[in-house]
Amino acid sequence: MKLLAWRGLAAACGLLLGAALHPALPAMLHPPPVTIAALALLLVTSLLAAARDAAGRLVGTGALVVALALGYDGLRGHRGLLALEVGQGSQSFEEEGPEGRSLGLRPLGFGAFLEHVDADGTVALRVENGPTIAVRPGRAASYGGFRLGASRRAGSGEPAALRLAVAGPQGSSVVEVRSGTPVEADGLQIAVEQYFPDFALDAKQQPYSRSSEPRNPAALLRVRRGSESWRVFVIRAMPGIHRPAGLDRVLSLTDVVTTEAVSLRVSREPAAAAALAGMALTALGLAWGARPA
Amino acid sequence: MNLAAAAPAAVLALVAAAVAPRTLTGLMAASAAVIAALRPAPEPSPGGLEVWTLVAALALGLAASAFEAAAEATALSSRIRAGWTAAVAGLVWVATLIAVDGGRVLRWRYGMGAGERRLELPGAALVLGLALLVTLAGSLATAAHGLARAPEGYRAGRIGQSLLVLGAGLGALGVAFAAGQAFSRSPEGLAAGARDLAAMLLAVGVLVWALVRLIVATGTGTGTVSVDAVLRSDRILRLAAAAAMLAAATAGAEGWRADGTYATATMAGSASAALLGLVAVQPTRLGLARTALFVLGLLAALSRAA
Repeated sequence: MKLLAWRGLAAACGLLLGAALHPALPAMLHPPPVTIAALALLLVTSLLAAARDAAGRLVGTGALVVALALGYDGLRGHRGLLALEVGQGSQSFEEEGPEGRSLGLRPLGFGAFLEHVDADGTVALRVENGPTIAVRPGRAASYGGFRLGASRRAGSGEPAALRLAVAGPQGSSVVEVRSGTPVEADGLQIAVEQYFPDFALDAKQQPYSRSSEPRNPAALLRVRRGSESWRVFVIRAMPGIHRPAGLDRVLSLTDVVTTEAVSLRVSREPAAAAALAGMALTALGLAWGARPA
Repeated sequence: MNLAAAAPAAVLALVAAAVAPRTLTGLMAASAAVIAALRPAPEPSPGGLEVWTLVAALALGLAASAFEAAAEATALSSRIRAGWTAAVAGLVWVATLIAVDGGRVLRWRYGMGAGERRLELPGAALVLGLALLVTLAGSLATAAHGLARAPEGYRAGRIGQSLLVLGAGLGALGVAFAAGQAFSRSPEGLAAGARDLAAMLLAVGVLVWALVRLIVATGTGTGTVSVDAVLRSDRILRLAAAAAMLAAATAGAEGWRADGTYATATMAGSASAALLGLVAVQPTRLGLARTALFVLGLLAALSRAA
């Protein structure tokens, strides 16, 4: 009991806990959750054991409430991501563990469909047999015991399709080619071999993409007709720049068709209010202890 | 204007001017004002102004004031402690010089920004590199004097003090030179290096403050510790810890409102600083060091947000 009431123990536990919780701590130095729980328990016990007055007891009680709430949320709460494209629905989300590692799919308990995404980033999510929820940037929404928030547009750089113009002796046509799915057009089979959203050449004249945004889209296509095969380079900024020998068609990249997709943060933290109230209680205890004797 | 940095700077200035007037708090307000003035405003947060930064700035101002009061009390009580404070302040200045611009000062290089827009400042690099060497030598000499418990006026102590004064002077000159050169050559580069400049300004300010305390302690002889001053410093520290805890709770509530969860990196950073506040108020040994850690924790949490 004497050891628990020793202020040095509270100071040491608080110091270690503060370091363990800091977001700048490298992942390899992160202690396991059981160590953090043990430190928190020791800190709370020490604060309560060493409390000499009402202010001290208030600090200890507040710390106890915070520790219990965080522990409860750690055991019973869920956090993860829900990635959807416009028109797509899901009944589960990808749950994340304490270190951000995937824990697999967890049911939401309801079906959610992404209706549309507004220009300001507001996401309209329609619940199966339920209302439409608006998740605004900086303003999470609640439904079915979950908080849905921090919507952001998915920017993987992968387009839904490339829109190509194929010009030949019989006129021209427009086709949309999806990555991994060759299409037939004007007697040709066209497939996307490589896509560069923001095309550029490096010092060795090798192609690369400066960013994942489609600022200067270009692609390398595999074009087949019977036993013949060509590799055709197309870039939106310079239509028809590459005309391989033997190919009597001119291919141009006219546009990149993108899909509207968002990633929503899904959280269930039943003890959130208790955790924040516990912190406020601790703050009150500390401030009370500052009053003149 | 960079509101995300200007609002905490205003709170720090208010604390420095009215709530708990102290040199350190004023220095922090000045450093925050440098960032607010030079750094371009980031994209406005969708959730609006983050209130937790204001509460954390209040906590930082109070904690810095409490730290200064405690250091002043201990420095006046012992010349050796004043020497130690100066030596530690010198090492903080050295660590800052090593940390800024990715440690390039160690290779006699210093610049602002990155990539094609990087602005190289060879003149400032020379002055800052010299400041680093001189301050390091001064800190080591002062620390050696402290470890030896040598009497006042002993050569190592005098040389250490002189070197620290020279290091602080060179540092102030280097910071002014870097800011002046960058301002005339590339305001964009200056904006990119605003955080480094603010950190150097704060660190060299702390060194100057510690040297003034050392000189005052040397001149006045052994002083007495005012019990009232210690109690007042303790009360301010408790208020700072309370404000830091409240800042963490506010960060959690803001995260829950904006992102749907309180388990955000901002909340983790502010909670870590709040725990250091809880550590600092414990009546046990190494109080000054724990208070210094608390101040550093709050500085780190706020600098991540700026």
